[in-house]
Amino acid sequence: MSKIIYQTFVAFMACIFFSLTFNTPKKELPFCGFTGAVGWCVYCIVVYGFKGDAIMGSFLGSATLTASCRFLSHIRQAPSTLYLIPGILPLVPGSYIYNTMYGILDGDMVYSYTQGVLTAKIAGVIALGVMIILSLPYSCFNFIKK
Amino acid sequence: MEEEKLLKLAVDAGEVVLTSGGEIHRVEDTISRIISTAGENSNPEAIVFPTGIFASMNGKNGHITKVKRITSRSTDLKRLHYVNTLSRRFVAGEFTLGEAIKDIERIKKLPDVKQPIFVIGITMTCLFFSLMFEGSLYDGISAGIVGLFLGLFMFYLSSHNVAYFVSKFLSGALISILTMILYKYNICDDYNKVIIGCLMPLVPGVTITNALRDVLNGDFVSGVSRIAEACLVAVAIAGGVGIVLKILSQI
Repeated sequence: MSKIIYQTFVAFMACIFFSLTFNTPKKELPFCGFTGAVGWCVYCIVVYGFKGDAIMGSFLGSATLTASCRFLSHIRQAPSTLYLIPGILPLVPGSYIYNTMYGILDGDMVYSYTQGVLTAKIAGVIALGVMIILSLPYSCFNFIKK
Repeated sequence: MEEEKLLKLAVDAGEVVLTSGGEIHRVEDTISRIISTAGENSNPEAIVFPTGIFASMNGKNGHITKVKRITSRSTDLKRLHYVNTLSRRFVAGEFTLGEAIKDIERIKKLPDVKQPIFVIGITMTCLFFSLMFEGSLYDGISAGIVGLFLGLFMFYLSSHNVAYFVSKFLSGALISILTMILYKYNICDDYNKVIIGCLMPLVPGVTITNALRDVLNGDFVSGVSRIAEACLVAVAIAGGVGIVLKILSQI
């Protein structure tokens, strides 16, 4: 449990500082961090809490994160892309890309193949999660009146 | 004359959205919405590729068309936010055409992200991502040190217009050189965690998400070309890191 809280906090900070490099308006910074933390928190709950695999975690994480982006986009009157770009970063399979490269370097082709396929699977599943939520009609997200 | 100004405003707004990291659907939507304020018979059409914008509308003296070539793209969320606000308020009728044109010129001239902020951002991103991938405190600190140099190096490369893939390759190489130096002096415990943490600001996460969004929206040309870009960037980074690690392991 403490691991999940720690990971969520670290993801929150990482997303805030990463959105700094994109010249994000200062008022939106905490919200960018919030979306990233939500996505990574769901991933951690699935992977560490329910012992699920990384693919299920990435799917549910990206779906929740996109939903929170659309809520924020409605509440803050800003494009949802503004929250989605920094928020998606913790879920991006950076470590799997590195493992694929490391396997090739070691000459361990079986390891690099499995990691490469996992990279492609996770990238596809993230896009699927984002897309399913984005294709829902706007009325699903505007029940909170401003 | 009024219509040409409107078309110019629409294409300029689309250009800012596209060069700031918006997806294709958003650019086309912005352009069509701005043009359709001209009236019901304006017949707005917009085709957008990652490298160019084509827009046309029905004016009083026949069709007018505007073509814009896009050469560079980056991610700038401030511009994206401001143009979104501008186009929404213009379509709602809160801005006149002259005010909107003045505003879009102001948005275009907004300063890019400043060097200290960029460097601090990259440093802290590397530090926290290294901690996120279960690195120890020492790994986090060394990722911060590597990130500091990485931020300075990336800013230097982008201000000197080094080719995109080459700059990614060199950044990857720099990360692994610095990490291996720190590892040699026993500052970090596990160099894999440091390298992964520092790779996160470089990996084409934005490109891949936008590419797959484009594909799923039906914009296959831009989607496939961006997927190709993302794969090339991933290969360039992995190549930069891999070659240095290979050379250092041989010595």
